[in-house]
Amino acid sequence: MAKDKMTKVRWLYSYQKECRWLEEMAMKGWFLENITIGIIYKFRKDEPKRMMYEIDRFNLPKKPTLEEIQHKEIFMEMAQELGWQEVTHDESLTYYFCKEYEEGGINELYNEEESRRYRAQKFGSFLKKQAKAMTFWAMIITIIDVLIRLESLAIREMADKLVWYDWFTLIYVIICCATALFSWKLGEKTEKELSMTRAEWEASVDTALHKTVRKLVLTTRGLSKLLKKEEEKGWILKSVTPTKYFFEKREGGQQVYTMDTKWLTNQRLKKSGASKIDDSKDWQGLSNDWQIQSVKDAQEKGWQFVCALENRTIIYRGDADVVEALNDAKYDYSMRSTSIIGEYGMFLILCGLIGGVIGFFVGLLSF
Amino acid sequence: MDEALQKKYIPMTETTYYTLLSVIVPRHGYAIMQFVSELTKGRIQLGTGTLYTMVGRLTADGVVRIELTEDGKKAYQLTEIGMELLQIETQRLENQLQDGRETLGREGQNG
Repeated sequence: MAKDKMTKVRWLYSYQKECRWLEEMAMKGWFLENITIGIIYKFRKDEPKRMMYEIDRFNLPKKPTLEEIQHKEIFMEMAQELGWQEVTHDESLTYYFCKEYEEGGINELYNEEESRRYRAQKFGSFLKKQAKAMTFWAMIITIIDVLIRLESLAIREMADKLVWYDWFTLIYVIICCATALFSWKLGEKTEKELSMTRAEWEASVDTALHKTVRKLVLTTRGLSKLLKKEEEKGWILKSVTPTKYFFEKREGGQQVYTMDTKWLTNQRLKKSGASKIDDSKDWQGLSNDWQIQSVKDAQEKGWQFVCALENRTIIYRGDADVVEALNDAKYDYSMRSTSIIGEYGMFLILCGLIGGVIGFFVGLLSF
Repeated sequence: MDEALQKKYIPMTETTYYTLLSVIVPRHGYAIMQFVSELTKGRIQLGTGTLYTMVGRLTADGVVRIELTEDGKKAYQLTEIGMELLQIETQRLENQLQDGRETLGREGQNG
């Protein structure tokens, strides 16, 4: 007898990917029956069919109104009326629905942008709430540890017996923080993915159209070289983070790149005799006045804006025959420190270093 | 009528406008979807979640109320407030259209 049940274990961090996979399984005649702890999928064999899978959840706010309490009932009834069948739900109360594909019909649960974003937010806020809870417990455990330590200073013989608790706190806090960070990132990713239609998502993950390069580039010259090399292969820069470069497959291939920062902009201003851009009230390095100046300078020299990393860096692109160098060649090898971690980041690192040095000397004195 | 409600709904989105039109007489979810689809010749298609999000908000604001039909299913109907909103919006659209036509007739030829 042919098998008519099957269990598969999959760890998928993307609902879009998960739904697509469930649809592929249905095409092979395997239909989802149950999901346990989010990774164990039970399937039942039947005639292969083109199915659409969707997810939703029913979070309640802190003080739900009568209508909000009744929402789930209304939704379930409406879903059934419009052809969606509830398949199952998992332990985090994410509900799975399916519907047979209908040519020319509506094959999405949310087929309009505003409501799609509304659903995405439900998932995003659920995951972010978990992250907040984790952070809260990490803090509580740390505070308890500190209190116990203060207590044990008074009772000397207690101190040695409590070392295990320090270890417990340390491990607990590390696990909490890691989980919180993971949940938060997952929440952001989920929200972004669920705001897209399936087609938009498919395009966004298509490796023939997009590519990410992870690299720490330290100099302007290094950056120009990297971007030019990718451009020659048809990969055009779209956006950056400190260590990631996102490319898009597009027409092009002859353009060159350059980078500008506040410091470089001020060097240019100094050279031309103008006053430096500096806001003494801007303690946190939030001002982007220099960027406004930088764009003007760059456009004058034929450069086009590509992307910026907050107010730390701007990257420009331009035709090699048209553009003039934005900055003096002598700055090509200067370190990109501030443009990577930001002014405030530098400030915090400096504070940390000073604190460390003071702590070291205080420690020396007390022995 | 509540001024905040007017501010929230006027001007209203096309989808909201058609949904309100569809519940002047009581209709089930599926009937709403079909009504809107037919009236707009298939241009506006309401997906389940989209319709539910909309109806959920409309009922919470008292623009639409839920009525149980004999078979225990839920039908939706416009309330008095909803009717008033629909009329205000229709008048507003009429004014907008008139302004548009007049201005285009007067200044549109130059372009």
